[in-house]
Amino acid sequence: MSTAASRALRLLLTAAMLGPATAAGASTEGQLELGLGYIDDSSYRYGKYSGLRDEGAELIVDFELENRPAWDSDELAYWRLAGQRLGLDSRRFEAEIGHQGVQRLAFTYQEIPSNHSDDGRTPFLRATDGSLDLPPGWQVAGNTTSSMVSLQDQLRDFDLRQRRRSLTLDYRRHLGAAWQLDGALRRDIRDGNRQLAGTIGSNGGNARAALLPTGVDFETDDVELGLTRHGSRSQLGFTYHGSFFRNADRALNWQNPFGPQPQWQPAAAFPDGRGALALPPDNRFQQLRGFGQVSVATTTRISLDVARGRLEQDQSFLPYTVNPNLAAPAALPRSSLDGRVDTTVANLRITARPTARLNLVGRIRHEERDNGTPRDLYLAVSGDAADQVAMASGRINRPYSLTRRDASVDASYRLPQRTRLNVGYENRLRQRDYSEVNATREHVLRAGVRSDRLGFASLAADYRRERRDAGRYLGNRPLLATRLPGTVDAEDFENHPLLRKYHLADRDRDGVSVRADVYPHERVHLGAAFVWNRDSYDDAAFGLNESRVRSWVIDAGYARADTVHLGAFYHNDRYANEQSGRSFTAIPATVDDPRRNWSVDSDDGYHTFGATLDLQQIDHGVQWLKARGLGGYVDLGFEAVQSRSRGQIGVIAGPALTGAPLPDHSTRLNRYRIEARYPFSDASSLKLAWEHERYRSRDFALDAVAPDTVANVLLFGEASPRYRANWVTVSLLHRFGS
Amino acid sequence: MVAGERQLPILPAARRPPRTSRASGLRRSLGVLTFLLCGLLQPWAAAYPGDPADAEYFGRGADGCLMCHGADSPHPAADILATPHGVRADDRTPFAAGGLACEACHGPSAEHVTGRRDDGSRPPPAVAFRADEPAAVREAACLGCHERDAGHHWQGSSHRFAEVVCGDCHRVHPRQDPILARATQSGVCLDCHRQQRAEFLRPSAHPLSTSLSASLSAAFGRGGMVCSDCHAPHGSLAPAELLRDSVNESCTSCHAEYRGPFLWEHAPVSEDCTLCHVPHGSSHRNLLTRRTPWMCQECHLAAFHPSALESGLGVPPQGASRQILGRDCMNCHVQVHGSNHPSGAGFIR
Repeated sequence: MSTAASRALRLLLTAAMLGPATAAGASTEGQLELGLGYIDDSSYRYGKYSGLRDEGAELIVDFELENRPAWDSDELAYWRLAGQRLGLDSRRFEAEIGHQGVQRLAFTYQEIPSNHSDDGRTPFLRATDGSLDLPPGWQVAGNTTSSMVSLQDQLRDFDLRQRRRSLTLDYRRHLGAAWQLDGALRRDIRDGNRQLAGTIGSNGGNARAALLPTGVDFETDDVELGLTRHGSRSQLGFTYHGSFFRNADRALNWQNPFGPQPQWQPAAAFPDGRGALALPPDNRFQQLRGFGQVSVATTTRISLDVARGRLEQDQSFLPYTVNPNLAAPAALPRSSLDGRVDTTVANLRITARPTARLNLVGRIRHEERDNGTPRDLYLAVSGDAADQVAMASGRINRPYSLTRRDASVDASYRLPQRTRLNVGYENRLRQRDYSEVNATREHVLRAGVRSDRLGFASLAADYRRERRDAGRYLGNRPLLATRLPGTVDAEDFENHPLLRKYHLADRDRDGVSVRADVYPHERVHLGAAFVWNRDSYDDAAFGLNESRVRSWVIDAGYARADTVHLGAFYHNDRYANEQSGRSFTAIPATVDDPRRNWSVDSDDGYHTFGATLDLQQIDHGVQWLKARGLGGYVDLGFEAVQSRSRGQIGVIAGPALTGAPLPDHSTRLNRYRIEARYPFSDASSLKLAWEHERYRSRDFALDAVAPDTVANVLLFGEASPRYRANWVTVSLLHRFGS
Repeated sequence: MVAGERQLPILPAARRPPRTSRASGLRRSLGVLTFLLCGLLQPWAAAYPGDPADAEYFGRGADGCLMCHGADSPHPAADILATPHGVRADDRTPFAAGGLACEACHGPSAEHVTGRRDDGSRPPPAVAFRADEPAAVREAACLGCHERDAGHHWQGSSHRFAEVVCGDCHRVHPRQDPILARATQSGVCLDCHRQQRAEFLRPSAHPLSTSLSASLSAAFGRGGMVCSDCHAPHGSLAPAELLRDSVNESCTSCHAEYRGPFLWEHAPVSEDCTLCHVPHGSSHRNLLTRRTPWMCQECHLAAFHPSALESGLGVPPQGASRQILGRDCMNCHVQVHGSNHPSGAGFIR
């Protein structure tokens, strides 16, 4: 608490000092909340984004101060200071100063924690240069995790968590009646650590991997400038956006914990063998935009928006291998990528409301990602475990370009008896480089009806039909594009020839949704909705064959003036997918053997229930307090949430394969929140709040899986999260001003 | 609406209380095509009995209104004088010197102040912002001044197309409009967008700062994000009314490390993040659409382990498959968003 508390107090003092002098005729109003909170158990997941990670006390500091001129004064100057959750790691501070209608300057500071685990174990130690080394005395007798003799004694606990801090400066100035200048600067800093994995091996069969806790030290600067002219019937503007990402770490270098493997070069194994992978490179994106809008007649508007941008990345390459004992005679074709992607986005939109009943929207969109990154042949050192590959096994990079062209028109027409019809059509074209399919075209039809005709009920129904035509699918086109001409045959393939990647395949999509809202009484609302979607692909192909989504929801509400609000809802969502494949090897006969076919049906089900109750100004009935003028009522708020998920995966193995059922994976969240406010004077209140949260999960990929359970991967040995936490706060609220 | 390649169950947004539009009949429909051809030149006229043209202004500033609409009124409005709307020195506001004060938005309402119906009740002001008033009338009262604030994308936006009007989301009388405060904004949005409300309660979700109950304080909030960090409620020209031009630009505005371009690009990453991720919530780690490795096998079916059947034989006690346990495919192929390593074509470097 001490660090958080001192940080909160520093921010509060800063706020007080930043508060500008009060203008004549102005008054300062606001609210300050000070209190203490206590969390009864430590759980990284409970505090994943809230900062309530560790058992113990936390400071509650929230405030808002605003100085505005009296409504009838001649002043325009104002300022505002606000802080939320200042005692926690999810704090936010805002300051704004300005002259209303003339200019404003706003500063924001925000922290968002992100905890990923707290029960991981690893033998690796971080050296001062950021590389990961094995501890002294590391012993490994073979090439599997079970042969790591000293593993159990040398595992250490670690947390995986990050923190994001954002500083933002926003400025706006009105330049006369028509022009407006906008500027924004933002610095986003992320630090902490995350999970990566280091693999040593020359092919998929001899790879040995270890999960690695890796430092994060990212920084992104964003700049936005805009100039806009607002006319009576038109609008014109230009903006510049620049985003500059920097990573303080260029590479992750680790020591191989595995012993010799016959297919590796001896130097690749422990103790001399090391691996290195490239961390995200610095990049920058800059974009210029022009936009305009003009009103034609009274009811029609035409908007045009064109943006041209460039994404660049030119960080120096790492060498083919970090292992100096491996032969890598061929030099890199270039020292850095000189990566460059030009982006174009153009939108034309026409909206018209020719009558009060008819609303029309037409859109045309062109989006292009033109990847001008140079292509070269790279001769890899596979997994830092073997000598450099020969020219015939080299790979040429595939800088993907993409073009999207969409056109749509939608119409909404209001029928006489409080009923509205919607119809729409959309055409989508996608063109890709180095892809199995050059172009896909999609036709979308949608129609819907909304009706309030019954007066006490609203009904809505929508239908949607989509058809995507993918044209000729050449499954080995990416392979041919990444290999030197002549080094592969035209019939060679990587993926099975019958595979159809779902986003590149012919597809029929149907969707129906229905919603009804009933108001049997002015205070009561009942609602229900149902959604059904189905995507169908070619049954004869491998890959995703069908996916279905079915959701239904019921909700209810009751409100009495502003004093009683009651609400409840239940959601039931189900996502079902059917996919198929064929297990094959380098033996040609396996490629065409239907006995090696398999299929997987996955089914993710969700049940979500929520209920809220707000009671304002409830007579507490304590005469002793009333007699002393300490307020006669309390405000109460209550919230309950249950969210459950269950994933089921069914496998069907062909006659030549073996398979077994998979366990289900599930999560269950129960949360209860209650808050009471007791105003004991006109300006002051006492607040009590309690949150109880319980979370359980089962995941066969984590549960009962130790660091050395898998023979060729050294894992963290985390368990799926499970916790029960209570968070209780007591605070005083005081209002300033009127 | 379907976001990205993956289908999502987008429930129709919840309906507001029924509107009892009193719009008189305009000309009969001549069909959509006729309107398309002729509509551009056809002036719009709001045929609404409460049309301000029929009424008279009270014209004595706010005092007459606030006598009845004080803090203890069932319809309190006095706090508007502590908001940006209530600044006399700003010529643009309703309460500027010579301005129409409350009637600037509520229309000519002399009859509301001075008149009585037969049953003794007051007739409503010209524009009461009730749900049974035509959307165009309620919208016009705000857009008369706020056209530029709403942005040049409001016309043609999803909200406007669905006849959601300003007052459905905004509150102008309280000191703080709930949708403009980060602590309460998402609650306002999720009150209608209920499918997203359920998705944000799933185990893997973006940190939305909200409670289901509007009265619960921000101390229960789970972090710093709000809907408007990604979406433009007044409309945009991007998919799903995103602030940025595309899904990928939106995602990489916070996750800039995945922006590239990389030496070895993973094609779906360059194309559309929603090919593998959902934006709001999932039961799978990192907001993935499906459980891996089966999600990966939808597109990767090469010889040996990529095409192998992954089943319960790889789970203890029957076995221990590196393709299923731990991070499954990402036990090795950890650079799935792209690699800048010269030996990283397989995304392990």
